[in-house]
Amino acid sequence: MIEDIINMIFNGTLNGAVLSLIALGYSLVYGVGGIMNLAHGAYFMLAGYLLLWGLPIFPDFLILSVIFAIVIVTIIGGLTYILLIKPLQDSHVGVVLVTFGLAFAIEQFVLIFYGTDSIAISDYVLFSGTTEVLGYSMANQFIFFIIMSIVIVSLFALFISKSKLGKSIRAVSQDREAAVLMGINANRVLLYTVMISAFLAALGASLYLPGAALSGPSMAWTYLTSSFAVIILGGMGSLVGSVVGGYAVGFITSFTSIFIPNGPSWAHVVPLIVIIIVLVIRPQGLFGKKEIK
Amino acid sequence: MGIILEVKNLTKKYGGLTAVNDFSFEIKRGEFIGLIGPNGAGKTTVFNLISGFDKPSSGSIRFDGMDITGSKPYKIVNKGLARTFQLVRSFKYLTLLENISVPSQSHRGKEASKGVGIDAYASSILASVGLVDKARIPPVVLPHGDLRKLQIGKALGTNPELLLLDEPFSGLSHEESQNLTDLILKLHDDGLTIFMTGHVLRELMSLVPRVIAMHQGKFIIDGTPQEVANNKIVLEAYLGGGDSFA
Amino acid sequence: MLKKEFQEKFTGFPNYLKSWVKTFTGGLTLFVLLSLLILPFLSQNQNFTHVFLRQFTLAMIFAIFAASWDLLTGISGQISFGHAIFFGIAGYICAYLISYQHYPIWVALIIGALGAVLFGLIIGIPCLRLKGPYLALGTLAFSLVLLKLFLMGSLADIFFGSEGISALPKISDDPVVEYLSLLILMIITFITIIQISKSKFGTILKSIRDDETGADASGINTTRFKVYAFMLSALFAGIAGSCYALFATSVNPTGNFGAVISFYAILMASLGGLTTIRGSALGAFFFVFLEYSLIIAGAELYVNLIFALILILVVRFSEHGILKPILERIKDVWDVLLGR
Repeated sequence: MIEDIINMIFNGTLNGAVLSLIALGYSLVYGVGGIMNLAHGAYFMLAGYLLLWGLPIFPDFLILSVIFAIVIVTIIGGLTYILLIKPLQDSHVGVVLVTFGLAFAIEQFVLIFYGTDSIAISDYVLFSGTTEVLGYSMANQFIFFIIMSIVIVSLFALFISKSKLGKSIRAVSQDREAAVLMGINANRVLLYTVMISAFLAALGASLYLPGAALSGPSMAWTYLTSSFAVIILGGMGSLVGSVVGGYAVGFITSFTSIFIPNGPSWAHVVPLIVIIIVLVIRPQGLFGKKEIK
Repeated sequence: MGIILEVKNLTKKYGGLTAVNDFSFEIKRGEFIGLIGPNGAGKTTVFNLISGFDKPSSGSIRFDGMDITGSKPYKIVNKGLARTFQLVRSFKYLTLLENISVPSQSHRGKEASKGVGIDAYASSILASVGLVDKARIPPVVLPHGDLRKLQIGKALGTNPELLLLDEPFSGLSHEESQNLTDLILKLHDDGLTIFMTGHVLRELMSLVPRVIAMHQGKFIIDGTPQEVANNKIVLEAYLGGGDSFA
Repeated sequence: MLKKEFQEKFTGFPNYLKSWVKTFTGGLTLFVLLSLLILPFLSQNQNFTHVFLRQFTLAMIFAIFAASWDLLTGISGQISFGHAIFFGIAGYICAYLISYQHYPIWVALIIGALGAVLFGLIIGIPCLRLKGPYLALGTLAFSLVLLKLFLMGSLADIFFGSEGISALPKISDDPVVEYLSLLILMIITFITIIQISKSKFGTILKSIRDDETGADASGINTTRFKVYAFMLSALFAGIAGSCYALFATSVNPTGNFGAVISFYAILMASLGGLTTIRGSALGAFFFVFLEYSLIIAGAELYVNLIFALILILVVRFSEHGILKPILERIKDVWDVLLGR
């Protein structure tokens, strides 16, 4: 019993650590530019597969593969904005359609090379082995990841509140026209925002996936769906909400997995149930604004 | 006669900001009333609260004796209260006739159009706002003045008893304003109760027999245009706010 | 009064038809329909009837599916990225009723479609609070979760697991009869959806698309109409889904519920132009034959990638779909030929 509880706490935290990183970037782009980038889950997935591809190439300098994956995905994020999002910024339907197409394209591209099977990135684990707590074994790589996730989120919070770019980002998200009047290049800010969100996703993937496994390119959609549930719960456009929501959804999922009969199957449905319940009871989520637009 | 709209202690808070503060007034059937206040005074918020597009934090709104506080917009419309918007909106990809045929299919619209059919009803409304020759055209090509008239036409499609006009003269040329004034006066003559906001006062004050003034969400005074124009607080609000007064 | 309108429409129909044929779209549509009608009789060759003709049948199934999506998204403005739900549910219900309950084919087909309508209601209601991109994602989330339920874990066993149900009968063993049945279904679907679009009800749906707040302010219960749109769209998607189950003679989670299916609906409708219903048919035919050509050329692996890229290009560069500008060029030529 106590094992199960530790299991739940650990996996809940782990899920939360992943989800909060992914949802943070996703929510950032929405909050700043009103953009729903449906390719966001694909960024995460792509980083994982780039890592898988790059590792055998630089066997002695694993960090190179990581940098490679993160850089490529960040650039793709930037290109997404320049080539696809910005030209369509007047059409909500257009942005959604084109990023959906991009997500598909990335998924299919990876599918051609790697198929749908689960693959583990076993060569790159910074911390191998496990730690035991009260009878439950926790992978050290995951412990490392959880710590790193918290560090990254904290650094990001500092960045957003103290740095010049961070302040510009906040200005644009509050009132784009006013920011432009103050001399801020909103276009550039949006570009950086999308790139930062891609960067966060790729960073999260590089730290988390080596301990887990790549469960097929369709994992892009799984993470997108979960991120969506997270930002609905946390409140659309709220960065704090993404983090809190991420851990909340993470815990609900691990709880369901362990304590509910047929748990792992029901765990798949958790994001959807969260979405429905939040929409019915409190559409603005925990920290969001009243109108959903 | 009788009271058609009764607003009591209407308050709306957004977080720390109180947009409308303990606002109360009454409108009798057949009246023609202006609501003035400098930009940001809360006029549109009051309209949004009355028409159901926003929920009051406290207070009550009664239309024709019925409590409509916090009701959904479409239900309020179907009780007889229609409104136009400050920012002109239209169904962009529909013709003008189709634009009017939409409100004509509301409950009230369907009741009113029963005898003649929706198309004929919608046509007659377009005619009453002077747009019938453009019935087959979509709104995209129309000048601003026509779009404002279209909005009023859409509101009329629901066969309202009380019409809320939110800054109807905003952005109009002198000729278009005159045109619109004639239309509004005619509607009033035909028996429609009209409640209108504006912040350029010259037009408003010469048009309406009764004015309610507000500032920073609060009620200041309710009286004739002369009384309001001479009120100290109103003068301060306007001179301080830098809006055109005379 | 309704009766009078109907009588007027009925007696005026022959004239309406005559003037319709003379228009470019009318003439073109008639030409296409007649060609489709004659097609199956052009050859007795087995390869022709069993393979080539069946591609057309498939195209017509997808045309119905694409048109259903267009009704919801292009006409009513409710973006659906989870249309696979209706397609898949109908297919599964139809398959289950035939295989396990021994219902006759057409009855199962219709009940499958009705099951999809029920889902249209179930999904429409929570999704009503979502607008634009959120609705798109919400519907996508629904379809993905449903897919997972059917595919994985112990719950999946109730729903026939990853293998689904197979050995279903076709609509008819004679591919020509199958083809003609679908042709009739497609024509009925398109006429119905186009009439809905042109009706007063359709005008309300379009008003919700163009300005939902304005529709609210016009006294319309937009919630109710949005649910109607979902249910109607689900009905036609369900018809397509049931037909597809019978065409493929089997159902399985990925093949019927996969996100790809939703993607296909979006692609086909976008190719033909979001707001034109007939465009969906063009998009569907283009899609099916492009896929067929790619498979023959040995590029099967790249099919979906190519489609994804096409969608990106179409949306990015042309909001009216690529087919509309092409059609307009053809129309200009037509006008010149007729001396206008």
